[in-house]
Amino acid sequence: MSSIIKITNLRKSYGTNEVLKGINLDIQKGDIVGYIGPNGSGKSTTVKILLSILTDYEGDIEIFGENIKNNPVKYKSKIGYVPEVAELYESLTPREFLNFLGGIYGIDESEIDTKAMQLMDIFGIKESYDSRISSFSKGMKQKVLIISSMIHNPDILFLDEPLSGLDANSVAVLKEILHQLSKKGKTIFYSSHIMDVVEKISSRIVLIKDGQILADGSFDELKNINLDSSLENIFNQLTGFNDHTDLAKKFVDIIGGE
Amino acid sequence: MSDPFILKLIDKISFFYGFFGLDYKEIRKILKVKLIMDERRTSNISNVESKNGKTNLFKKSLIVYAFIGFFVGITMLSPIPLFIKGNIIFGLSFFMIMSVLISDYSSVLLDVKEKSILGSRPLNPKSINAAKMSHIAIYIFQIGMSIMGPALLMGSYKHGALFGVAFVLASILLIAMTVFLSSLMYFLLLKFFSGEKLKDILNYFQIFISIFIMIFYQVMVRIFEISELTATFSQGTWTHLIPSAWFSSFLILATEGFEDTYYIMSASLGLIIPVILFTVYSKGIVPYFEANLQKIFESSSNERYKKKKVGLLERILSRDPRERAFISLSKNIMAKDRKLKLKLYPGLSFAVIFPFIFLLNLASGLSFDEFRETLLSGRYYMYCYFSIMFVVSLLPLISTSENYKAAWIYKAIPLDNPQIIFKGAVKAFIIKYVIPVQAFICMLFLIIYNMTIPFDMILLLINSILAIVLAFKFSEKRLPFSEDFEYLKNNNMAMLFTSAPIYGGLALIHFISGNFTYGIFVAILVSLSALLVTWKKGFKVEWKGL
Repeated sequence: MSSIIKITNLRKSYGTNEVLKGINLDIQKGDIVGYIGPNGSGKSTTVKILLSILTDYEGDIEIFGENIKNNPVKYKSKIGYVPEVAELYESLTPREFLNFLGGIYGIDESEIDTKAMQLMDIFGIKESYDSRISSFSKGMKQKVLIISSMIHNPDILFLDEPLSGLDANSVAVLKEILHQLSKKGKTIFYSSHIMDVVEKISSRIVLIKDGQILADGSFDELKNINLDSSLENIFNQLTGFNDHTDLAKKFVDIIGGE
Repeated sequence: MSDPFILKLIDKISFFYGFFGLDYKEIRKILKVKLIMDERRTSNISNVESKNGKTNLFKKSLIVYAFIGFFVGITMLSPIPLFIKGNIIFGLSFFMIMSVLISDYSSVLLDVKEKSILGSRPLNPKSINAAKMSHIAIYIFQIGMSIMGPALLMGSYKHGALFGVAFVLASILLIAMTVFLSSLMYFLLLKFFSGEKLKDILNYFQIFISIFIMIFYQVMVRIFEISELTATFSQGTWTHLIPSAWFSSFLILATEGFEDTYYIMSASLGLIIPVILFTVYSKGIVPYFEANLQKIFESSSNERYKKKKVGLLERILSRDPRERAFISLSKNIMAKDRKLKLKLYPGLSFAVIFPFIFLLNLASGLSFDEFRETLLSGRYYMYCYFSIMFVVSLLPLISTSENYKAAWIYKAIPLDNPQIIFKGAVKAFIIKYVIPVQAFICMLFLIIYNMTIPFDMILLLINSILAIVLAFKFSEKRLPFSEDFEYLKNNNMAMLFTSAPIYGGLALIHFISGNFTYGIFVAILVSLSALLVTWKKGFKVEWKGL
């Protein structure tokens, strides 16, 4: 099977600081890839490069079998993106924003409205369809962002911290949405810090640190190699972080004045 | 961390807080942080351009107020009767301070962070409130000083020290009254509106005051003309209703002694009413106020949604449905982004008013018939090019937004060519603002000129659109709504100068064409074809460099 996303030797530097040091990834259709790593390891940078938001990089990226440097636009009609920070034109209402996107993707206004209303209803925010986004809570904004990334029925989803601000119920819904989308052949590439979720829904987990891939495989494969039972422990072990008990003790001691 | 200068001043009167049973130590700590934050705001901006020594927005507006205060203060030196001078100064200060309070009070009141940061700490709520009130008081004091200070100095110079004392007393009472009245206004707004609606109304107040200040600069000249007239003031019972008359009576009593019962009566009203109002305010209104404040954060209000048909202009100017998506996005943002509106609307209203201010200058000293004759004998509608100038200088605004970071969306959607984004924004600007503004001005001039100049007005309308498209073509391209308002600092003025050849040239062609028979038709033809060409070719933009 040919891969839907193929990253070959991806390197990216900000000045002299090399953030990505040769990433190689082959992602198949229908994969749910959990892209994890400590803060500042290069996750968001990778996603931004995949979207051609950052264009100044070395290496090759093929999406839908075509190098995105040759055509940095066409593939975007079939991808959805949730950025790390939920920035939206907040003076608009969801209706106005989603209708704008509909106009871009060539979807009829009434179709967008029906779809969006139903989707917002599922997330429990239907009555806010005509309220300014600026009046929304963080979770509500995130929901609008998620809906706006999927409204055009994309084949690949890039989700950068899609769970931030969502309550437990909404997280459960989103997990199931991702699962069912993947069954329908959609490919999902997402990053998160919540290890339980990554552990449960990913068909494949890629762990990076300092711009390099440390581990790559299904959860079971990672478990067998690293002889550990939870992704959190594997994460700590692989990123070389094992003094959390000491650090915590110090912290508590300082608070108590000991 | 050294104490702010103002805080040291307040230390001197700290017994005042103890008098009301408040804990000054606690208040001082909170106030210190607030004042330090105010100062930081300065250094944040000046870090970027410390070479120019620019100060923060508040200090800048103080300079503007002081400028107004200076011109008003000059009347103090003029020979008009003191009572009238007093009325001019107090009336204007009253109006200014009140508008500033209503528009800017919101930034203090809307401080949500304060509640979550201070509210969770073991602080007496009374101290938090007192610190807030003191902060506002300091703020008002600074504004009051810059508006009325010049008049105080110049008046004391002319009328003596006793005048100064009376003036200070009157100012304090006047400020107390404005605080009361603006709070009452706020209270009523909070009672009847909530959430977004309320913020909208505050936004209109802010726009209004910016427009007022801009116009005030221009009308200044006329104020002096009025002041040259030997206006007489007839005493009557009804004048007791005017607050500025009360305070002016203070000045009369201080300079002329307690003789005229009219002034004694008026001044005592000025003393009693503010005191009563302020007591009512602190005892009666403040508690309700706090309770209703929460409403401002409510998000209950839905925007009224109307199914909009695509407008005729839009259909003529754009056939691409994707471009129309950008047009309606841009129209929506321009209509709703409050900070953007605060920059845009005063500029637009200025564009409307400016040609007519020129006409007024022309009218000075003439009778109505003489004025009419002069007007019709000349081609004064050429002043309209000044409004084109203003509208062009507003063009960089379409690159800015309150939520400028949301511009990532342009990169996430499939667009071969960014020109469609720019086309959408520029066309939205033209449809929503340029055409209505220019059409309105043209209509007025048509009426003034008895419908004798229809072709000049058509040419003007075409030229206004042409000027925008040309100015865009030669300007630096930034994605629409993708920049912080800082961006405007240099670019607004730069646009005014760099596009001078454009609107200047168009005005010149228009003017020369009037010297030939049928010249106007040639000019229309030339402008129209130039517009068609630039419309097709003027929007070429590449992704590179964006």
